[in-house]
Amino acid sequence: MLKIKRPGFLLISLLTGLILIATACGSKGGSNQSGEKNTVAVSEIKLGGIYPMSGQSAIMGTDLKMGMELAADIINNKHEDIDLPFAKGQGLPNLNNAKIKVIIGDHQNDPNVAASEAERLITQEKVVSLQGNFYSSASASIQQVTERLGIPLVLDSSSSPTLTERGMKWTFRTWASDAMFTQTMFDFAKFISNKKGIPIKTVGIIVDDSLYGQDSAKIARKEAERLGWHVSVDIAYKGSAVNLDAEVQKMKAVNPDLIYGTSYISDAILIVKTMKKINYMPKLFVGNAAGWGDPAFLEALGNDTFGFTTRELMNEDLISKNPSLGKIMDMFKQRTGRTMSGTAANAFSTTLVIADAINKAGSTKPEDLHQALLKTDIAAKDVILPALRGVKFDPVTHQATTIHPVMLQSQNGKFFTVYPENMATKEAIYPTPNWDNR
Amino acid sequence: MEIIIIQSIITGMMIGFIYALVSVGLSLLYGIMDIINFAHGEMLMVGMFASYWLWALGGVDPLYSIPLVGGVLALLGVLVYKGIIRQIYGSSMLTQVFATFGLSIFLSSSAQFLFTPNVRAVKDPLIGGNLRLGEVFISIPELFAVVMSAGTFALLYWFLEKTATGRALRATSENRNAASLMGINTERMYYLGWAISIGLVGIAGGVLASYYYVFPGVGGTFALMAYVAVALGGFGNVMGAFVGGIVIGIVENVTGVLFLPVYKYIGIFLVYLLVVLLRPQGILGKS
Repeated sequence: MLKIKRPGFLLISLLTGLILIATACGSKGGSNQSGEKNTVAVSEIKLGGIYPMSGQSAIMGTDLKMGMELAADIINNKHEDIDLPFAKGQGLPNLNNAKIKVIIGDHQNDPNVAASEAERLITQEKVVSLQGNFYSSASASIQQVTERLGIPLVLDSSSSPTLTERGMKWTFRTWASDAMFTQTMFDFAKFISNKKGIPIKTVGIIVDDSLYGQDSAKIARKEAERLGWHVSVDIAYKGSAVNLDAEVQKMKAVNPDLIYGTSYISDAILIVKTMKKINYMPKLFVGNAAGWGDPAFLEALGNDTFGFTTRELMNEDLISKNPSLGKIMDMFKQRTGRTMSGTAANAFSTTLVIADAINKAGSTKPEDLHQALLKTDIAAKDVILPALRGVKFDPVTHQATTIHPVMLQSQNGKFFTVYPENMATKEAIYPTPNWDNR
Repeated sequence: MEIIIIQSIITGMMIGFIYALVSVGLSLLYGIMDIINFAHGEMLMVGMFASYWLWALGGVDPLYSIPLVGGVLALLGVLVYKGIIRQIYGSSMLTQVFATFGLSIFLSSSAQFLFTPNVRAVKDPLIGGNLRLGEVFISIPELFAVVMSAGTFALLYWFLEKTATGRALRATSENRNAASLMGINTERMYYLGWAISIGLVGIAGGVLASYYYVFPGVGGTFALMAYVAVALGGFGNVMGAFVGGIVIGIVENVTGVLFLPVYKYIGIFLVYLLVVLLRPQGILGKS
């Protein structure tokens, strides 16, 4: 064993050294949060976005990131032909034309990773706000961090209602909650079944076991009760499944009139494939977006998706309803080769909302930003999603209020708006034709 | 109602044949070497990825690459034996467990690192569509999987029963020392056992790639079913593992359809518990 001459002295010097090193590291990293009062000219303002950049929703994550980057482009550069906030100028006018820089984190749909990404973006990258996250489970984890560190989190794509029902001061949501979405889905089912004279009496629920899935199932049950429909089968399956034979067969065995589904993309594709395999199709299928509204859903299955419906806040055929939507969708397609989805459009829109708040506050200090966000009042024409008639936050829940979701139906390999009637570009097909009649 | 039960038995049987093919290799290995290969599921994943990449980069439909993938995985089995198992064979139980367990983590993490966790699928494979027999529907890719599985197993069974090498393999499985005394090169048997076991998994992977999703975690569920099938059928009993796999597939599906899908794994493990209590050596195991 090593003989140390003066163990006590050695120990104290080691400890002192460690403390000195720790202090040095700490002061560089943790202390200064993003709030800089604008006495020093800030040339760059960092906005953070945490999305699923890997895993089954990786493409969606890439699109959401592009939504933010497009918004940054609109703000930072001159776009004479676009009539959106900050488009015609360069940077944020009230902050000496400071430019927006987008910083992205990957939550990998893992709550631990989500939390650490939030910490990293706030404490190391010094973002002044976070937006996201497409997976409500990731949002639940991230909002613990933003609540603790006092940084605004604006949910642009997470729909679980609980995220705005827990009294989180720093969480805002520009997207609709599943409560709003599911109500629209059931209202649509009632509307179309009445119109065609084939009533719905029974409902089947199939959701994955994520926070998103479970919460949406709760609302679906409430909605079914509201309309007096009986939930005859209620299935929750383990997400990222390789085999859903039993689940789909159970649905076929019980055969409810309406199926309400919540799945991410690979499960949605698997469910449709399995339904085709055993020749099962309900009268109407309402999908709670995510996988059911993903462009990859149409791409993978083509016309096998005929008749499936989903809820959204935007669609290609609604371009004429907003003056800037077409141009932004074109820019998006140029950069990614894909059609801009509603969530990506809202990522774009949310970045503009945050920029608007920063500009109105004239500062990036968290408390100033928070106050400005509460006072947000953006006109409908300045929000590219036609289902969002402007942006205003409820003073208590911070949920955006003026939202009227639309229902899309897949017909001939594309999504068309079929509800509400004043937004519809095609009539909904009901009941959904069987597999042999397409 | 009868149709529903018939359909669920048939659909369950089809996935059961895949579980069976995966389980046979596991059982064989245990019989020969008393080693549980905890990386079995990950090797299935490697087979599926090999088949996928041959399609994505080489344009080879998974149907045609099955023999190649089987061969590649057989080689992998030999390498694993030579590189890892040989070093730790005979040492403590814990060491052996951790060796294959560590390998499983290494394989799935490497796959995640190299290929990302993204889910991939082969588009427009050669085999597709379904058959209709009255009110019962049978998917053609799955039917093909059943045929491949049954055919491969038949081949293996013939090999084990009728050929000298096969008999030598079985002898090693029954009693290593006696086999060695009879002049059987047990070392060669070990190589052979690993090659066959992982080769079988490779064939299963190649067959699955036509219609399943490929991602680094895909091996997990199949491996779990395989362990139960092997225990159900009797450790070391190859026919037992095959039958066990089919039984599990049927139980999984029928439980899920008759009761609720969320109970499907409970059904499997209830059956397993019953077998363990009433016939601990497994359905076809020797007492």
